[in-house]
Amino acid sequence: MAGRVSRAVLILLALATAARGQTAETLAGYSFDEDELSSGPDTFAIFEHARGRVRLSTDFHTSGYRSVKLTDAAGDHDFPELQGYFPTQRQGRLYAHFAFLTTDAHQELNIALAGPRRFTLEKDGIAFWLLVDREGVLRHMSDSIPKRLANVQPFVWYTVDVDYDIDAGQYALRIWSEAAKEAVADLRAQPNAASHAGSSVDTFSFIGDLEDASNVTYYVDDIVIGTREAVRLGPFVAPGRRRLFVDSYLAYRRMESQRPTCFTPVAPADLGLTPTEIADAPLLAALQRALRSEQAADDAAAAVRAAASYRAGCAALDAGEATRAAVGFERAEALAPAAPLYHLSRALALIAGRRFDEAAQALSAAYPDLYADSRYAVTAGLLAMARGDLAGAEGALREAANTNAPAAGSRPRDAYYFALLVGERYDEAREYARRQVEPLAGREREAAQWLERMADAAFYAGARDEARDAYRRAVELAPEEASAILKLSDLAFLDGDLPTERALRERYYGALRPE
Amino acid sequence: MYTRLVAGNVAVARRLLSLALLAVSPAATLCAVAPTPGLAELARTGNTEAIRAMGPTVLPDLATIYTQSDEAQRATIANVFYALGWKSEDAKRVLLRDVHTENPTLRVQVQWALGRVSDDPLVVDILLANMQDDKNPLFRDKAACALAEDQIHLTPHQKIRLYEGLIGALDDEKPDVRRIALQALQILTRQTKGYSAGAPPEQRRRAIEAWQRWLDEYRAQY
Repeated sequence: MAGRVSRAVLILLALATAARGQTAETLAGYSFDEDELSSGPDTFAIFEHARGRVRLSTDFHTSGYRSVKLTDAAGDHDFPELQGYFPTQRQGRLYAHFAFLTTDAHQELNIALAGPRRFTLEKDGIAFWLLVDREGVLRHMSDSIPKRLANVQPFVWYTVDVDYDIDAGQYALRIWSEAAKEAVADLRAQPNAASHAGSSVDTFSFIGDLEDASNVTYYVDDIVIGTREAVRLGPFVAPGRRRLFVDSYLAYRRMESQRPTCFTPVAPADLGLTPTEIADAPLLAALQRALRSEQAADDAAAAVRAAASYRAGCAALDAGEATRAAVGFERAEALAPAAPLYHLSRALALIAGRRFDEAAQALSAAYPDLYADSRYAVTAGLLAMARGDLAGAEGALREAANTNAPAAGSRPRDAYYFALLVGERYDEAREYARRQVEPLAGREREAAQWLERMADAAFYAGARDEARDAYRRAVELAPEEASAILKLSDLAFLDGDLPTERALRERYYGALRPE
Repeated sequence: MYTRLVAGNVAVARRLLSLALLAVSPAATLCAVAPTPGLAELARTGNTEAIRAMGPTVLPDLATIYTQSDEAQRATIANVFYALGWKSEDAKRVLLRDVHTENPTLRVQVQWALGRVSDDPLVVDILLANMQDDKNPLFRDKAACALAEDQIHLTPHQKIRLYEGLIGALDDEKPDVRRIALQALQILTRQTKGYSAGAPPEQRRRAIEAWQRWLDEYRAQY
């Protein structure tokens, strides 16, 4: 189909249901795109006692941009677990919804809903138990029998809906595969795991296997548990989506702009080099190699080893491994304590790891050398944003955002814009974005990006005509970018122009037509 | 069951061995092969953790040591096999030699250990037979325990044979056999299907039919 945008962009636009927020009937709900995902006795716990892992991931997701990734390791005498909690339901009906994707259909995984007696087959223990066995068969434990449902395909999302009648101890089960037109399972009145009427539930659990033989990696997304069927689905806000494109893109791009990444060194002073070291050509060559390769000989000069550690820390930060990144930067700081860039980098890693007090301390170590540097301002702004201090973020970023210091690239301007937008300063955000467009003559992609941002701010300010004009100008400058076109689809819908909405939306999502 | 403890440790914790002093039995026949030095002492003193650290390659030697030991020592070594939980044809072979011994401590240890070294259907069949037909009610009872808790290597498909035997034993003429068969089923499935070993025959029959239907459904999944 003409005009099809890449799968990557469509994945970015996978929609979260608008009604994931807690209502009285929602007992637990996680799309894993939330800003705040706090573990605790009323939310969830993560168990990673051996080599297994439970992590947020952007690899695969059914909505938003993240899911949870569970990785088990055979022979480590334990299993990773995402265990969630909700108020005990002892009667009535419970509706549960979740999606999972496994990367290897022949590695075992287990999913359960259980009660206060947790993971036994007693009454008030496991009520619902779904598993993928080593033969790649999806089964549910019903009436103490591992009943066959379907063969599992790897890298396919399975969406599971359980309607559990607690009093009767039975459930209806529907499972859809994104690879099939019809449900792979559609069952009624299934006895619960060990056929116990009145078996209560208050826990959900996702694990690897119990026999310590599984190396499964699988993803879980969109967990919703409630007392009414409607909690499973948020309303459609427009055709084909439970969230406007404007909102979906904003969530993703905001996340990207706030993700700490390394600054590139732009001067020898960044690395704390002395005049003698600067004049040492072989040393500089070794340092360049270390910055490229992350490697340095054990007997190399301290500055070279520091550069290698710094580069390794940056790679870890890019990979989302904040703790490993902080270790790399700490090592670099120890080897080259006069290098302000390493202090700044450690602050970035600590922000990523949500260790804000330590990040503030690291930032203060960089202050004497970098206080006038826009990179310092960006880092301070990121710290303030991460702490929810939008006013502080604006203050930190304002001056840096209005200069064009090359050291930090576009990051100060990007971060400042999002600080204004998230702080609901829509008029200021759109004026700021408008000012960024003017000097970008001849740089169509950048100009299009700022036009789109101006349009976004206008949209949230309620100035739809201005937003529409700006999106159209963005499309003229960068016709290959899907985002502005899809946002025009939102505006058409809001204006009641359904044919235009459809034409723009189907340009990227296609359409089902009769043969 | 669904537990965060390592299955083997939980089972061992439930099955603390108390070795009674027994009359010394005649020494077992010596074999020609010499096992790993030091292993015999570890085995005969029940030092499972030291043996575990050596890895499963010691199992053939352990089996040899078993055959070279007296009954009290063999009971200890059987418990080591139990605690290790490693599959071994050699261990199964030597343990089966004592599966009908009259020595109570040795018999119980062997019956417990067999399912932890093997998934051979023969083991299940022998334990079922012991559960139903042994003259000694203690041995019948412990065979049922072994069937309920210690067949750790059986796949769900392999368990069909186990369930067939237990459900068949629900109709045994001996009330204690009926009782322990149900107990084993209840441990495995957490269900009774309304069966009571002391109920009138007609009531038992209806419950057995429910179990039969359950078994038919179970078989259909594989």
